[in-house]
Amino acid sequence: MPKNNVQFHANPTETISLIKDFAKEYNLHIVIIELYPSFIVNLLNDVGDIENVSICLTNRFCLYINKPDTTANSYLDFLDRNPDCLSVTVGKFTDNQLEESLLATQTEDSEYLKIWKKVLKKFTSVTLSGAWVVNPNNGTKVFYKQHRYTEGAKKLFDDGVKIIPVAGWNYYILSSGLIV
Amino acid sequence: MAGAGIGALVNVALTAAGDFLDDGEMNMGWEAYAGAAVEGAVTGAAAAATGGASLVVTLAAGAAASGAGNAARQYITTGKVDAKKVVYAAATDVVAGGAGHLASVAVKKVTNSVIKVAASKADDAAKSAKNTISNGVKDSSNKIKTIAASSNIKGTGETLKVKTGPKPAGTGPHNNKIEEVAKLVKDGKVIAGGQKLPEVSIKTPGGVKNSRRPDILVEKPDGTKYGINVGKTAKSGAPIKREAQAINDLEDAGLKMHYVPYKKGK
Repeated sequence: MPKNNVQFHANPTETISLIKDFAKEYNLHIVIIELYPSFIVNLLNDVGDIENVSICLTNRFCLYINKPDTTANSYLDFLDRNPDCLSVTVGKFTDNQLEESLLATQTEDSEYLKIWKKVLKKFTSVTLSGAWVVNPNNGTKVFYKQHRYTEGAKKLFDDGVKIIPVAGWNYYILSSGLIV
Repeated sequence: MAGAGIGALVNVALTAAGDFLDDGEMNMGWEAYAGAAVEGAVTGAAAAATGGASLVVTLAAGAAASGAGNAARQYITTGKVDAKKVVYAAATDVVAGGAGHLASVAVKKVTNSVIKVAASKADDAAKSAKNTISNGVKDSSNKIKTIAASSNIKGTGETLKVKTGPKPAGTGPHNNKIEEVAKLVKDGKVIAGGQKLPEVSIKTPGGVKNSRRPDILVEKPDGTKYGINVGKTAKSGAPIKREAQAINDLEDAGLKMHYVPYKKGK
């Protein structure tokens, strides 16, 4: 089953704006997923409503071409019923830290796959690439040329915001230049 | 014309070499070199003219050319012609030409014979190897068909293909076990992997590999995350080497990992 996964750093408002643009351009349905304190699925009536969503409460969205089944009672159950989504996890920006965001797809449906490829291609065209990742415990630094980030994330980094991964204690240096 | 020119040049060169080698000096007169040039030209022209003719014609022409060339050389260098020397030169050419031809024929015959024997042996060896390989393939094919039939695998026979590497989501014991484990997670929510979503890449600078993808990534209510890997174990019960390395790399990057064995390795 074809899988696509793009991990990136972006100011949450930029990611929300991108989701809205993709949804409008390809006539997509947006579903908001809340995992805690209890599982909630909310299908937006209008894609423009996504701008009113509080990222503090939820940072997960699933995009669909066809209207999804929202009767599931758990996240895995929801994905079982609606397997072809473009899943977006918006990295939170709190306590002067910007968390990594994710765009992920896993589908065998050729119609979905075609659209998701276009979306991901468009996304990569509006982002920068190449960042260093540092392990603070042993000081090891490695350059990851495929890591992507937006201009907004770069500005936050330049302003001193710590850029962190989706999990773990490493941190990012959003620069493609050599570092000492 | 080209044959005459080449013959003249070669004979002059040979005469010069002989002139130098007999006493270490080039002291023959110009007449000797002119004679050598004429002799070489006549012999070369005859050789070129008889290319492809029969042996008798070639030998006769060679003898005549040698005789004429020798006579010309004698006349230029001494002013007279000794008939005995002319006949001797012609006879020498016939003998040398005939001997060369016979030697050539003998070499060709021996070579052809050796090549024929070698080709025959190589053909036999190739046929034997082909039979062995063909029998081996038939044998293997039959064995595969038997195994496939007993295991109820579709596409048996010629169309059966064995795919190596990672299995597509939802297929294979490893993926099935991951899906099973993901459903058992109770202390948090699966946010990546678990066969429902793509795995996330965790950067692991300084690790055996520079990035790792845990089979399952779980987020707990307090926002903390941990990973679960499903893999083979050694006889001792510990994860096999590559699984242990993956866990070490991820834990060194600050991600707490859990390990679920699904199959005993060798």
